[in-house]
Amino acid sequence: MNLILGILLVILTCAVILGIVLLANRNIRNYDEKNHENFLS
Amino acid sequence: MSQVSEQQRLEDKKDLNRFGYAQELLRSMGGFSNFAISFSVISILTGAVSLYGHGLLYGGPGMMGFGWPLVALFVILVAASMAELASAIPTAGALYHWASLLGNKRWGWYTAWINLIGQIGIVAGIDYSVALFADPLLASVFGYTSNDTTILIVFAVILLSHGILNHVGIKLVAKFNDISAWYHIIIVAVLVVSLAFFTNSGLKPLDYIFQVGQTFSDKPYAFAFLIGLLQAQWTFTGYDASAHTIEETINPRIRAPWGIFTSVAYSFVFGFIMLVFVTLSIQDAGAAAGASNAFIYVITEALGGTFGNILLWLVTLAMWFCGLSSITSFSRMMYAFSRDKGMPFSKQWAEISRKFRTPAKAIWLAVILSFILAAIDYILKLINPDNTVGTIVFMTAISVVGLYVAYGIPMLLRLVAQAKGKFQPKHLGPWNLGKYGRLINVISLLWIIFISVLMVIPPNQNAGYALIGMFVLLILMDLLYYNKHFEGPQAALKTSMKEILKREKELES
Repeated sequence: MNLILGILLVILTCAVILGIVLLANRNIRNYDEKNHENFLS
Repeated sequence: MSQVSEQQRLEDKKDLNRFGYAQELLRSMGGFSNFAISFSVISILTGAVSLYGHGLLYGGPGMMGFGWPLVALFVILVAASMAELASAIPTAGALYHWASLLGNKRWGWYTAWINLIGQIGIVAGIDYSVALFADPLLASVFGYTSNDTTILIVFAVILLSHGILNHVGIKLVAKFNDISAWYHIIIVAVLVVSLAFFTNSGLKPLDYIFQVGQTFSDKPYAFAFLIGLLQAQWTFTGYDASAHTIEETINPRIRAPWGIFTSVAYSFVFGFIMLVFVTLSIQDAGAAAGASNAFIYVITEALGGTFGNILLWLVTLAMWFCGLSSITSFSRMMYAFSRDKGMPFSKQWAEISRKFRTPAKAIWLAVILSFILAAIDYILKLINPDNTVGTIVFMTAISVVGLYVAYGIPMLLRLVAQAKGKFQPKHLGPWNLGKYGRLINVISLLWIIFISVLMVIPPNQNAGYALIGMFVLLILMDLLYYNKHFEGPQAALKTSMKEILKREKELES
C-alpha cells in the first residue's frame, strides 16, 4: 500500500512539473510585447 | 559575439535602464549558465547528502520516499511563483526589488534583510558541509584527528577559495557553474550505478524507501517526520540565484524564470533517484542514523573503504561547486541592495571592480559574514559543550526560514497588489502562469508559513531564537535610521538617462 502511495506521490509531482512547463511555454509563445507595461509601482 | 545576441543584450540593457539602473555588471550568461547557477546552489549533492543523517534519524527510510517528493511538490509551486515575478521585474535585487515595487520601500527593506540573513545561513551551511566532508577525508590522508577546530580551519580555506574565484570574474564562475551542473549529474549517475551493481550485500527491495513509522529519534513518528523534512527543504533553497544574476543574463525575462523553475525540477528528479539508491543500499539503518556522518557511513559500508572514499571525494567537490555559486548569488543580492543604499557602508558594497566587473567588496563581505556565523556557533559550543544540535542543522534552519520568508513576502504583496488592481496582467512578463498564477501563489504561501514554523520549533529552537534576535535588531535599525533615510529602488527611477549612460561609459572605459 505504501509503495503505491509513494509512487503516486512521485507521479503527481512530475505531473505538476509537466503541467507548469506546458502552461509557461504556451504563454511565452502567445506573449505580445505590445501589451506589456513595466511594473514601476 | 553574434549580431542577434548583441541586439538582445542591447534590449536587455534598455529594459534595465527603465528601472533606473545602469548596466554595471557584465551581461554574458546564457540560459544554461543561469540554470546552472541555481542547480549548483540547490546542489542535491550538498543538501540531501549533508542532511541525510538528519532525515534518516527522524523520518527513517520513508523520509526519502515520501518526504523528498512531498517537499518538491510544494517547492515547485514556490519556484513557479518566483519565476513569474522574475519575468515581470528582471533586476538583480529580485525579492527585495519585487517587494519594494509591489508593496513599498519598507517591505523591500525588510525583505532584503531577511533574504540576507538566509543567504548568510545558506553560504555558511554549504561551505560548512564541504568542510564536514573534506576534513575527515583530509584527516585520513594526513593522519590527524578531525575535530571542530580543524573543520573550522578547512571551512575558512574553502570560503577563501570561493571569495577569490568570485572576485576575478563572472565569466570564470559561470564556466565553473556550467561544469558543476554536468558534474552533479555525472556524479549522481556514478553513485547510482556503483550502488546498483557493487553494493556489498545487495540492495533492499524498493518498498523499503516507502516504509513509514520507523524513527531513530525519541519523538513520535508523525512529528519526527515533519522535523526530518528539513533535509529536503534545505536542499531546495537558493534557486533565487537565477534571479540575482538576472542582470548578467542575456534575454533574462525568459531565461531566468526557466533557470529558477527547471533547477528545482531537475533537482527533484536526480535527487530522488540518488536518495532511492543510497537508502536501498543501507545495511543497518540504526547504525547509519547514529553515525556522525550518515552518508559517509552508508557509502563506505556499501562500497568498501577505498572505492567509497573516492566517491566521497567526488561528492565533496560537488559541494565545493555549490558554495562557489552561492557566494555569487549572495554578493549580487548585497550589491543590488547597497546600490539602493539599504545597508551600512552601502557605497562600499555597491562598488564594482573596474578590472573584473564584479561587486568585489560585496563578495568579500559575503565571505566574512558567513565565517562569522560559523565562528559564533563554534564559540557557543566551546562555552556549552553539551549543545547537541549540530552546527549544520542550526545554519540550515536559519537559511530555510530566512530564504523562504523572503520568497514569500513578494508573493503576498503581489496578491495584495493584484486584488487592488495595481498589478495587472499587462505587467506580467513572457514567463507567466496566466489565470493559475493566483492559486499557485496562495498554495506557495501556505507552504512557506507551514515550513517556517516547522523549522524553528524544538529541537531547532536555537535557530528560532537567533532569527528573533536578528529580527529585533532589524526593527531597531529600521526605526532608528532607515525608516527616514532609505529611499528604496523607487529613488533609482528618478535617475536620468544621461546619468545612467554616463555611468555605463565610465565602466566601459
